[in-house]
Amino acid sequence: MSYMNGPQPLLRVRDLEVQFPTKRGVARAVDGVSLDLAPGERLAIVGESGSGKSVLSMALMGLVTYPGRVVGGSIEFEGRDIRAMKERDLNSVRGRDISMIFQDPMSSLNPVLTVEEQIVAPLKRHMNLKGNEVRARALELLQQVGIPAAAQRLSAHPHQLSGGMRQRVLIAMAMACNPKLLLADEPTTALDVTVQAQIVALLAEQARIMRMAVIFVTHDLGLVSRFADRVAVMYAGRFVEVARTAALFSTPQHPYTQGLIASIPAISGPRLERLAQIPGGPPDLLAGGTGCPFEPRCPVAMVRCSTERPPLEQRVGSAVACWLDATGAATPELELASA
Amino acid sequence: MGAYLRRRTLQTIPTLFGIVVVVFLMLRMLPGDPAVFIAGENASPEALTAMRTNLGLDMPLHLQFLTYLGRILQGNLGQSLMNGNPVAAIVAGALPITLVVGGLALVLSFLIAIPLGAAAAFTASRGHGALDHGVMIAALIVDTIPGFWLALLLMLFFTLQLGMFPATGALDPTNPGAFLARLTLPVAVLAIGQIASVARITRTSVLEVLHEDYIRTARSLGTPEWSVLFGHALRNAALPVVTIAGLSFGRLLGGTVLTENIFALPGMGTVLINAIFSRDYPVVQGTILLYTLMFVAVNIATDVLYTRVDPRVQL
Amino acid sequence: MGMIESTLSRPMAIAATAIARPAYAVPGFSLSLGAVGRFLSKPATLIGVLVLAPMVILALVAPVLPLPDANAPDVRSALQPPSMSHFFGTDKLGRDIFARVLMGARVSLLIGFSVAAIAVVVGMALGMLSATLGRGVDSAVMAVVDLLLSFPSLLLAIGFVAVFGAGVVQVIVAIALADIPRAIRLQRSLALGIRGRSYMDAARLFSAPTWWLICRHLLPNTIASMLVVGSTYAANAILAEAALSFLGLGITPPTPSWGNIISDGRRYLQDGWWICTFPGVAIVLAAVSLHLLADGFRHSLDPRAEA
Repeated sequence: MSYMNGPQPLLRVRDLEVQFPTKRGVARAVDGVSLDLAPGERLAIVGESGSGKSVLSMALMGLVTYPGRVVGGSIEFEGRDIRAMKERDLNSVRGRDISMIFQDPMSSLNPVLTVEEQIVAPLKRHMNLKGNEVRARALELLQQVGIPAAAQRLSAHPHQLSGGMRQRVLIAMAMACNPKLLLADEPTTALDVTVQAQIVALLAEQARIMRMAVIFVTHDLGLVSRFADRVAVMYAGRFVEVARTAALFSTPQHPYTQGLIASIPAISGPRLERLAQIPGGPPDLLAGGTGCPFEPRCPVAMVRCSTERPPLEQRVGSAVACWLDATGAATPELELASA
Repeated sequence: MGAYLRRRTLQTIPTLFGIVVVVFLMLRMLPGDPAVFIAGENASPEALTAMRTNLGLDMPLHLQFLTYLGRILQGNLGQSLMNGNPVAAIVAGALPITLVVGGLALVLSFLIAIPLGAAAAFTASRGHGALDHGVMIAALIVDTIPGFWLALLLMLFFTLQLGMFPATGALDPTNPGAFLARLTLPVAVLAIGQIASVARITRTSVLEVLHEDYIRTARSLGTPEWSVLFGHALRNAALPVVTIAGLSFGRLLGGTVLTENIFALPGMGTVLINAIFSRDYPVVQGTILLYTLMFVAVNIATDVLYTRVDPRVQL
Repeated sequence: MGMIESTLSRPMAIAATAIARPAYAVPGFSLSLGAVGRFLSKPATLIGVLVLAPMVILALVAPVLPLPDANAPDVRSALQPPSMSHFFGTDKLGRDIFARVLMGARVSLLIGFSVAAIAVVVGMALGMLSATLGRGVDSAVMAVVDLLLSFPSLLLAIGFVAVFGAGVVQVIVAIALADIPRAIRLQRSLALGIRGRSYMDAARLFSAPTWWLICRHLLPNTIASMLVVGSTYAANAILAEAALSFLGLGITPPTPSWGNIISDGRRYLQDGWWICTFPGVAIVLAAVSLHLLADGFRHSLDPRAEA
């Protein structure tokens, strides 16, 4: 489903499916996801733990490893087919055109190598820099991400750095070769609240300077509202709503999105007896039923919802996968907007 | 590193002291009267008195120990009761063979076991678990094969049936071909005994490391798989392997006693066993002391090596 | 840690413990029917049981089986290859090797299990005491532990036998000397680990005495871990006894043990290969199945542990 009629999208994903065989069956972590991303655009993917969002971002770089497998769909980056690429070509894309930063900075750096050795690695590999140039660039990168006393930090080992510092180093490594797309998988979840804000600001600034597209995976809606151009809400391996940020927060269309936004406690307004919550538990990715995956927890579910899966379709301003239309009435069959 | 080495060695001193005490007490714990035990029931009173003086048994215990300790610190391990030669000389003469055989076996086992374990782990992490299963099962079985039994089987097959690798006869270092042929089977037996445990620990360690987050980071930056394995995984996986090397050295030392016995090699193990049967206790004490010191030294060395490999360990 | 640092220093001790897979140091063990089910679920474990059980049974009933006397020479049948009348052949003195191997099983398995039992019991007791009786006791115990562990284990056993002579009891003690310190360390770290857990603080708020708490939480974990390491000790003890007896420093003839049968057969390696071979096979089978049992215990008592 295409959401823009402008220049060719940087990233174009169609009907992506990623599965993990488990002892109890096949878990469909990503179950038919499509999206377009424009250059420089910032997309947030929101969802609960287990909604498939991390797997989705790994798949975009071809990083889904055994036992997981990409079993369907297509991923095109700048017109190149990621799924068809050989490992060698993928390696020249990773770290250079697409980069990723991960959730846990404490364990994402190699403990036996120095910071310099780790930052320098992508520089040497992708940028063909040598010797002094490389060191100078590494120093520059550390300074860019706001690490004080950068020169000393270069020869430090990861265990000598705090969590926030380590995440900055990882961001520096990811930005080292000026990628066109940054995938950020919950980069602030493991950090203190104050550090979180700094890191998000850092990412926003870097993205702006380098005109980098960002796909930002998170479960924190506050972060989303500050940072994203568009938001995709993910549930049970699928997008259930995709909209521009303002629209999503002001007029959420999908019952799940509505539930998520309603559950954010408000700082002002009348004091609540209880926080609003979405009843029920996370979906079982093994189930693979025929209806809407949110149906068991949906306050406005209809009979149709348990038998037919609603497709993600474009409406005014947002795409929603729900049998209810914007007014809350059951939808008749809709034409899919042309992709 | 020098500072760590010094500190580490100093920490060992109480243990070294304890070792010397234990070795010292070995003679004094013999059943009944040590002199009678050694010299025999029928020895004359003069012979017994001479033996007691020789072994220093006529002094009060604490004086005995201090004398013993003093001599040890000067490198004097006493005299053999068989021929009066200094124990230190006897042991020093036998040490090289043990070191050569043991050392070669250790190196050989690492050269084989580490790539094997790494390959097993690597292929398993990609989903091709066949090599991994094979290696683990083989390792389990090979690990439980008694070294001396394996030695006999190999001797039966190679030496007796095929006529290769003689298992008897003097060792002549000046004739390299014969020398190596003579040592092939003992080194092979000892190496096989080590390979299984090293391969297993390597495999387990590499497998764990490959699931670590920093491997994911390396891959996300476009590191090719071979570089991920060698540059990132193995360096981290090395840590438990280094530790195991130290621990398994003890087993190796025990193994040398058995292989020297089977292949008639004039090493420390042969000296020890002969001394036990001839009740030449000063020699027994001297060899056990030396074996233990070697073990302690290797453990210190692996500790130091560990600090070099893992920057997180406090120096 | 005691005041005296160990020869096996912290990094090595940590790694050694990690290598021993202390999954059983995790609370939440269940000695339940579920555990039994899991125990039998691994095919490898089943193989271990199916190999070891007949060996133990045969060893137990060997004296009443209709076999030739293991020690009776019969020079007319000297050095016969395996046949229907002599399953494992005969040796130079005409003794039936099959009978000798079975009688040897009695000795070797007895020693193996005894070492394991002693190491486990003494280790449990001293480890617990060391962890709960305060710094002084702890330092003393750990000093002895470290001292014993600084000797290579076979050489420690050889040294012991050199002083106290050969014989079943001496061999058992000699071999156990290497395992007891390990068991003490293990039990001590289990006890200390439980002492430090946050639920201990919570329980103390309710005035439960520390020692009772430790026992309550320690016992299931202890039984679990002791089954695992005990099986391993038994396997190693069988190998150690064989080595000692082979060298002439363990069980001495005429009492057969697997090790000294092999030693007897050394001289007849070419003409009587069966004398050395079958006892060795028995050793391997017994040790492997005990290791498989250890794996099975580990798996059944904490399914989260990796093989």
